[in-house]
This record gives sequence, C-alpha cells and structure tokens, in this order.
Amino acid sequence: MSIRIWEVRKSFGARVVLDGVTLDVDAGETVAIIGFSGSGKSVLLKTIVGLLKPDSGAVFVDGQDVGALRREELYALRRQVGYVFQFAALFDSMTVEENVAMGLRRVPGMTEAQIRERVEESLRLVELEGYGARLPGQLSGGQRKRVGLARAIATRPRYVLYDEPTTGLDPVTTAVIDRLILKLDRELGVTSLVVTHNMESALRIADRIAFLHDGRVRFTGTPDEVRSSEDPIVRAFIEGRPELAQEVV
Amino acid sequence: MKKRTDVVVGAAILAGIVVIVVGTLWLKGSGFGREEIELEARFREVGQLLVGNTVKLRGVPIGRVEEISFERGGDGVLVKMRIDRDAPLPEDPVVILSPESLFGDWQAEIHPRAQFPRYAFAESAEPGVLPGYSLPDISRLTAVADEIAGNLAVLTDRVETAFTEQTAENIRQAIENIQIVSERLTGLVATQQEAVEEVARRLNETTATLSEAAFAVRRTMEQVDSAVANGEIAAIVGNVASASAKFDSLSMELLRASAEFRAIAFRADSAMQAMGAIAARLQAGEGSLGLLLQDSTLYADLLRTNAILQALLKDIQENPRKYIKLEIF
Amino acid sequence: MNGLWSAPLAWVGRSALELSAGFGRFGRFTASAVRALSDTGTWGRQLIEQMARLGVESIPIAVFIAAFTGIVLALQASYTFTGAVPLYFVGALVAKTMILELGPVLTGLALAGRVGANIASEIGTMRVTEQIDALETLAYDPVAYLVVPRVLAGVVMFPIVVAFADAVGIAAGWITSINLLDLSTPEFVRGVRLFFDTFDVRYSLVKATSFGLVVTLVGCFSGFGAAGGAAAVGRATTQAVVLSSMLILVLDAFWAAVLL
Repeated sequence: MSIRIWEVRKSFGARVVLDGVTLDVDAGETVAIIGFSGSGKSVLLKTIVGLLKPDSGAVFVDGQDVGALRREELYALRRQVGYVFQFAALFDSMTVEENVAMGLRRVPGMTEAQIRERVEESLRLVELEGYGARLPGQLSGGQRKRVGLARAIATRPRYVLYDEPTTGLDPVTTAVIDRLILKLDRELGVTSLVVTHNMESALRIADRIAFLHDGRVRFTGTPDEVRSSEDPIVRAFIEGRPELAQEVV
Repeated sequence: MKKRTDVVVGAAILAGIVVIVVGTLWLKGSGFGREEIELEARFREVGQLLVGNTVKLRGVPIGRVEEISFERGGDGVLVKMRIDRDAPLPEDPVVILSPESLFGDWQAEIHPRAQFPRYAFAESAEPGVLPGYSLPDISRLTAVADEIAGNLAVLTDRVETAFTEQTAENIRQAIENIQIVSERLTGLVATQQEAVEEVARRLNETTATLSEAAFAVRRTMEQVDSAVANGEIAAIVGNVASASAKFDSLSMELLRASAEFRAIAFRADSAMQAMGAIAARLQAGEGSLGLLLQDSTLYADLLRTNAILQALLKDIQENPRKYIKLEIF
Repeated sequence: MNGLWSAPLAWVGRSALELSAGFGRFGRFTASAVRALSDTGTWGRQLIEQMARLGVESIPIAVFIAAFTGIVLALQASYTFTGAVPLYFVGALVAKTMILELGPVLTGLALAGRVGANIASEIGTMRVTEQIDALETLAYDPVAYLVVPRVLAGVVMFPIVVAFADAVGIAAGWITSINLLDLSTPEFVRGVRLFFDTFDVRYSLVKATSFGLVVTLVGCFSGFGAAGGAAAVGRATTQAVVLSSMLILVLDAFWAAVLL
C-alpha cells in the first residue's frame, strides 16, 4: 500500500524535466513535494497515474509497475487514485453533481441512488452542499478547486494526488483547502501526495516534505527538519530569497 | 431533458429515412399501391433505348424499361418492361421503339400489329414475349434515303439515254396520268389525317395504272421504228420537271402541314420501304435496261419519287430547325 | 554544405518529417478510435446527445443552404437552357446536381465549419484545461468517451442531414420553377425523373457518410492535438475546418472516380 518512485527520468525534447527522481510514499502518509515553478512536480504526479510515461525508471503503485500495465489494469488502478488538478479541470458542460458523479459511474455495481448519496456526501465533505445543480462557470476559483477535490475523493480512493491545490487562492481560502486536505486524510485515511510551491501549506499539511530541484529530489524530511535545513536552496525557498539559490547555481 | 433529446434524435433519424425511401420511390416514378406487371419483347436491335425509358400505350406513359439483355442463344435483344397492370393492351400487341425527342430519349410503344403490317417484327419462339421492331433514327433514315436517291439517279441516267421517240407519246400520256395522281395526292394531303398505308395503297394503284400504260408503250415500240428527236426528249424532261416541281410543293405542303415530326419519321420510313422495294424490283429484273424499257412507266414513277425525296432531303438538311421545332420546341 | 543551401533543404526535410509524423499520429489516433469502439459502456450514453448536437441541430443550416442552392440551380438552368434545350431539363439538372454533388458537398462543407469547429474547439479546450487528463484519472478512456460518440454521430447523422438537404433543394427548385419560370409541376417532375437512378441516392448517402467520418474524426484529432492555451485551441479549430474541408473535396473527387 504505497507509492514507490524509482529513478524516474523524463524529458520533453531537449529539456530534461525529471533526471532520476526516487521517492517513497508510505501508506497513510501525506507527502508534500515542493520546488520552484517548472521543476517537474506536476510531471512527476502525472507519471504516477500513467498520464505520462517515464523515459526510464519506474513508478510502482501497490507494487504494480504503472508503465507496464495493460489498459484495463491501468484503469482499475486509477480507480484507486484520486487526482486533484491545478485548475480543477471540471467538465464545464456538466453540473457540479455530474462532475462529482463521473468517477462513480465507472464503479461496477453502483446504483443511481447510491451514486446520488455518495455525491452529496462528497460535496458535504468539501462544504459545498447545495451547489450540486450549478455549472462550473458559476463558481469561484476556490469553490471549483473544492469541487475538483470532491470529484477526486468521490470514489473513496486510497491515494489522492494534489496538483497545486492552493495556487492562485487567497490566504484564507488556502487555509480552508489545507484544512480540507487534512480532514480528508483523517476521515478517509488516504495516502496523499501534494505538489505545491506554497511552503506554508506544505509545512501545515505534510508528514514529510520532498524538495524537487534540477530534476532530482534534493532533500526529504519532516517539516521540522525542513525548517532547520541548512541547504541554501531549501532556505532560499523557505525564506523567499532568490539570492541564496543564486550562490549555489 | 435527456428523454427529449432521445425523442428528437429518433424523430430526425426516422424522418430522414422516410425522406430517403419515399423520395427514392417517388423519383423512380413507381408509386405505392400501383400494381405492375412485367412485359418482355424481342428485338433485332434496340437503337438507343436505355433502361428507365418510358413505355407508352396510345401515347400514354404506362411504365418503364426495366432491363435490356442479349437473347440467350439467339441473335435478338430482350427488353423487359414494367407496366401498369390496368393498361388495356391491344389484340396481338407489338412493341415499336422510336425516338421520343431529338435528345436521344427513346421510348417503347405498344401497338396492335395490324397498325403496322409492313414492319418486319422480331418474332420470338417463346410464348409471352412480344414481337418488337426498332425504328431507324433520323440520321439513319436520311442515310438510307440518300442511298436510295443515289440508286435512282443512276437508274434515271441510264433510262434517259435509252429512250426513243416512239415512247415519247406514251410517256406524255403517263405524265398526264402522274398529274392526275398528283392532284389526287394533293387532295389526299388536304385531308391530311389519312393513314400512311392509305397513301402507300394509292401509290400502288398509281403504279398499276402506270404499268398498263407501259404495256401500251411496249406495243408501240414493236411497231414504230424511227429516230428520236432531241427536242422531244427535252420537252418530256421539261414536263417531268414541272410535274416534280408540283410534287416538290406538294411535299412541302405535306411537311408543313404535319404537326408531328415523329409522324413524318413514320411516313418517311414507309415511303423509304416502298422506295426500296421499287429499287429492288428494278435491279432484280433480267437485264435492268431491257426491263426498264418494258416497264417504262417506272421511269416516271422513279423520277417523281426521286424529286420528292430530294426535296425532302434538301429541306431537312437545309432547315433542320423547321422539323425539330415541330414537336420538341 | 554552405549556409545558403542548407536552410531550405533543412526546411524541406523537416516539413516532410512533420508531414509523415502527422500522418502517423492520425493513423494511430484512428486506430485508437476503432479500438475504443468496443468500449460501448463509455460512449453509449454520449451518442444520442452528440447525434442531437452534431446532427439534428445541423439540419436548419443544411436546409437553408440547400433551399437557396435549389433556387439558384433552377434559375441558372433556365438561363442556360435558352432555345436549344427544353425547359423541363431544369428539373433534371436541379435533381441530379442536388443529389449527386451539391447536397452532400455543400452540406459537408457547411458542417465542416459548424461541426468540425465545434468539436475541435470543445475537445481542444478540454485538452488545454486538463479535462481530458481528468477523464483519464477518472478511469475513462477519453477516446471512447469523446471521439467515438462524435464520429459515430457524424457517420449516422450526416446522411440524414444530407437527405433533408437533397429533398429541400429539389423542392426549392420545384417551387422556383413553377413560380418564376414557365414550368408546370408535371414538366418539372418529368425532368426530375428523366435521368434519375436509385444509385444516385446511394452515392449521395455514401458521400455524406464519408464526409461525416472525416469531419468528426479530423475535428477530434485536431482538438486532441491542441497543446498550450487559447491560441492552441484556435489553431486546432482552424486546422480542423481547413483540413476537413480539403478532405471533403478530395473525397468527393475520389468517390466520383471510384463509384461513377
């Protein structure tokens, strides 16, 4: 019951994005991946669900090599993984309810009534009861992210991957989302991987923080270890001082 | 909402299918509920008939040509037609193929055989297969007419050199006869509606009359024995020319009066057949020149028909629009 | 190799490679659509909606175009057929041209704009806003969910739309003939039936089906290929319309050469 990322390399054309990333996420753990913009955090997340195939290396989810799975096996695996997109990626032709129900319709043996019940429950978890009939266009950014969250967790996955869940939100809404993530972790007991470049969020929600830099994991540790890290790049990131990072580069 | 979409899509698809099926049937011209039967006819050749051409009975469209195929193990062509079950087919029906217009559309017409006794129909050994005859189209008609006219020209040349003064008197008589006949024909044209066969019959009568005259000529020839004055021949030729001029105008009248071009085609075809028969008779004689002299009335006969034909041809060739206008435009 | 020559040569080489890569991608895309056909559970519930959106909603524009085409055909035919040709040939020309060529091709081109652009921009937007990735993570095959119902709807509905267009075009030609030209209904009908062959209708529908396939498939392909932002969606839409319009004309010539 874990995600193991082993020596994953991925490049787009001449640009090397991931250059041998190795990271383990244990069951029940919440790991935050931080790093500068464009450091390949989202790419790493996409290789975990097989949206992107690594050029070399492998990702194992529940011991299964994601890159080597057949289509049906891959889809079966994806039902165990919820994915929260950076910009929510809601289906804008569907209502909130329908969006949340999308994943449930793929679960064999679920009746329409059960689906409705689960949709309501999921919307309640993200504190959006009563918004079911709205279209994504009628929601604010934060609400959309919460609907995306509700959609990701509707099938009660064992893993949830968050792609920058708080980017572009005001500090209050950010805190609300962070609290939601913690609540979901607690109530649903999921294993989470959160990609963010919001240090505060990472420190707030993560059991462990991995720092991605130059296509590799430069540092892993608990929030306390991160706070006391002497690594100039990590410090530059935490303190928001680019000059520290410049010295190393 | 979802249900409404289903209904709308279903309705659109059904309506589309109905449009396709009904439209196709309507365009094919085969209405619903109209019962049809299949009819087959045998032809030597079918001219420019195509599948889909109209089948007519007394001018009324009653069906379409369904299939054209070679006769198995024979030299004919079989034409299958689909016609109205209720169409009142005549006794002993035959099928005649002819141009419907000058645009190459042909048609198959069902007639009683008695109406066209002259045509050599392609009979079939199989019961139920109607005998058919394909009318030559206009280009072939003119070609045949040209050929016959050519033959006649050769024959008249020969006759002219062979004539003697002794025959002149009788020929003058014959010419008078011809004038009488031409007047009769003028009357005939005036009445206009008489059948082609009637014209042909009268022409035959005339020929018979002329034959009697020819007998007299022969007798005269046996008794008289002197030279021919060139002036006389010239006078005769002049007379013949005036007679044929009369025919010329007569035929013009005939043409102008004709309301239907196809009727002309029919008549021309009959005339051509009669003409061909005459030419054949001439050439099948024992020593054509001798036979001609025995039957010198034929000379006038030929000269006359020749003139008519040439006038007709000239007119068709010079003023094709006049004829085309008759029906098509 | 001096610089003067290497640049254009490189351009030719690069273009050729890009072109063949494009063909390869389109082939793979088509293959994945064929494979996704078996995933009926995914596209089944989408099909009716797409039929309504791509097919039924296209009927008004197709009918509008066909009606005016029919009117113009009748008027121009009568203008051409002065003197030498009988006027009832107007019926033959209207019906034959409408069914064989203008019905399917004009409808196809109009729908290449309407349907092709709609599909490409919708799918392109879904691509750049990660909705397609979202489908994947929710265990939907996006090809089965998005492409198959659209292509099937196109293949089924284009012939239906074209059937309406053919019928309306001929009807418009008929109304024009009896009102503006000196032609009676029986004359027009005679002309219409004169050269009609059942094959014409099949030909028209086969063309329509192939146009439906091309327009929807190219629209989906272009949309899926969009990468970037709004500009990419715009490019994908333009590409879909241009490419499918061209393919319609190529297919038109192809069918004429193969079937006639």
